[in-house]
Amino acid sequence: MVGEFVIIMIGATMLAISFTSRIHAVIRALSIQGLLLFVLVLDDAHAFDTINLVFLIIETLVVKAVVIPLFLQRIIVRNHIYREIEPYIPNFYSLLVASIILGGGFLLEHLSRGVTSGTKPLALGVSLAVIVTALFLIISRKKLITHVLGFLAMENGVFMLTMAVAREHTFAVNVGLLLDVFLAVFLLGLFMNRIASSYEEMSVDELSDLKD
Amino acid sequence: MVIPVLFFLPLTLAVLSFLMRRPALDRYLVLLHAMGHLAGVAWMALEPCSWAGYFETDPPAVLVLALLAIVYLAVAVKRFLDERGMHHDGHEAWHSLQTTALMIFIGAMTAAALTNHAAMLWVFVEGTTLASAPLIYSSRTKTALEATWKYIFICSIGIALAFIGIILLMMGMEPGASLHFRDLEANAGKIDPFWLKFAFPFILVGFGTKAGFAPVHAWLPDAHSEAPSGISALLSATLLNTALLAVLRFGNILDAAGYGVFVRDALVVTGFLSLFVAAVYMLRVENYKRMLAYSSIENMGIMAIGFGLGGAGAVAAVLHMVAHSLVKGAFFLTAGDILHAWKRRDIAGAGGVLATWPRTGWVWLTAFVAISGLPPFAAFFSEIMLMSALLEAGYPVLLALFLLLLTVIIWGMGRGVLAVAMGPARPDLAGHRSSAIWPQVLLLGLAIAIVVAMPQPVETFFRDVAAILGVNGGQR
Repeated sequence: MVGEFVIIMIGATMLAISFTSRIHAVIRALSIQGLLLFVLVLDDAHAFDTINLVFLIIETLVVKAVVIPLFLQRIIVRNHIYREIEPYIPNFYSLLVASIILGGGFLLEHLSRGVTSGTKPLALGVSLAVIVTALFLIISRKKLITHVLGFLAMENGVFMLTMAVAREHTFAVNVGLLLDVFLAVFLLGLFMNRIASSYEEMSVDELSDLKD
Repeated sequence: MVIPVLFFLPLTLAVLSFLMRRPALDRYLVLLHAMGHLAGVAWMALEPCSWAGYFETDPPAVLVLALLAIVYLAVAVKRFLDERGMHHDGHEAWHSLQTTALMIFIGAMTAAALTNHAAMLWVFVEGTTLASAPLIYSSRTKTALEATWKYIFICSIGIALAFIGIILLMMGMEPGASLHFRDLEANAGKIDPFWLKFAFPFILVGFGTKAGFAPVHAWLPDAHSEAPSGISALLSATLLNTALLAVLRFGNILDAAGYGVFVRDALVVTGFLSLFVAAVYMLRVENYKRMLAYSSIENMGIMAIGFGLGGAGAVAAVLHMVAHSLVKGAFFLTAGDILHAWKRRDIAGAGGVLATWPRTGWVWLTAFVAISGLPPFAAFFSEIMLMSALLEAGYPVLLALFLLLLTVIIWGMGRGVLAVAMGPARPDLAGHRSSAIWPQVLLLGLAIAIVVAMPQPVETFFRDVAAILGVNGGQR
């Protein structure tokens, strides 16, 4: 019951992310997603052995909810990124698209109920909706920082998806996932500092020197 | 014992290079690594081995690694010769970081080719992205920054999609089932078909992003044109093969479960889409390194079609992989020589190579002949075989489309290649020390020798690889 509530809350944070025009609000929403994922892990705690559980708690509570948001804040302050998000389309339409995608996620839950054995259809539907919404947010925003934020939201969706599958591979899978998030964010942050010194505004419109 | 050596040799040398920070030493370290790598791969080719339960040699891995080792050695030798007497004052740390990243990049590709485990494969393909990002940023210019950003970002999204694919695959499996490819194929029938089919598009798009398939190829021309040419050669001739191998290993699982037709259709459509995109951009490209990058997209498309068709088509695809890696390696190295002297990436600004440096000009033209599929080069035979496979499979319309797209590509590319080769000599550059050409000549020679004098064991080996990787259940 708690699990399902949390899953729907995570879906709701994506709606919030799609509607806000402030970068800080997105970072806060990502941090909240980290906390919600932590609750999701706790709800399923009996399914993991101690090592896996400790690892998952560190991954959600420490890395996703605290470390990465702080790191992003630092990048923003250091590079004087304006607070507005600068979408290509009005926020209202973003919200509309995100809602439709989330609705599609629930539809998928409904359809896959008969097919899945042992997996949670709701987690599957919502996590795929989170992933697709994140991809949509990436392509509909100009600023590079919002692309990174979208990527992180997508990784949160992938994390939810991994929670829905066989327990035996949890550790290996999550080590890979953490590696992915950590190194990608670290590298992207590093290069973002460089981009800030070469380009005036940090938006994709400026990354257009290379084309045919 | 060979496999751990192949992993720990680059790690040791990378740490050494990073600590010493002496560019003069780096030349030797890279050469040493390249020679050690080739020796190790040769050993593995003769004696199959496995290590730690997660790595083992099979014919496809040996093929990809052999191409990697040969191209890497050519790049290392070329670098060794060209960097003689070069000074890196003030850039020692950056140079060492580049060497370190290069060795880890090679190590990650080796591990990705050798692993027999689905999750490990994902981890190492991810590793290749992270290790090669600093290599693309090598020149530290604004445009290199743009290319690197796009590379990391697009490939990170791609690899995340591949991850989703693997998770979806696991959803269809019995709890606790092994993720080793051997077991996955053996128990393919027990995997829920819904999840199996749901997973494959994610895997195709995910690993396909790294393999340079259209329409998820956007990073490729940027990265190939901005990276130093030795790195472009490695990206094109080895990284794309490794990613393609990943796609095909997963395709084999569906094939074993009886959904070969599904994989075949997906690969053939992807292949033609790549050919189409390459043809369109080939007509308007103005930068010769980007032109070579679009040619890589084209050739990956040809391989996708071949492996998708299976049977004779897969044999053609294996031969084409060999042909493309050898020739594209030589092509990029030569492009690097031209860029080094002319300092221009645009076709219009780099004319007169043949008149200024006849030897480099001839290598440039020969590489074009080789990549266009003219005899006696290997690509000629592989493309003829693929065409007959298309006809045999009952797709005369696709054959016509294939010929049309190939003609457009060769025409577009020929225009660019000739514009670079021809034109008045540049006397101001004639005094410029011409770079070493024999690594490229050897690669091109190998692309002829491999078909003209193919030893029986090599032919058997190619057929083995094709039988494993090709979509066998896709035949009508």
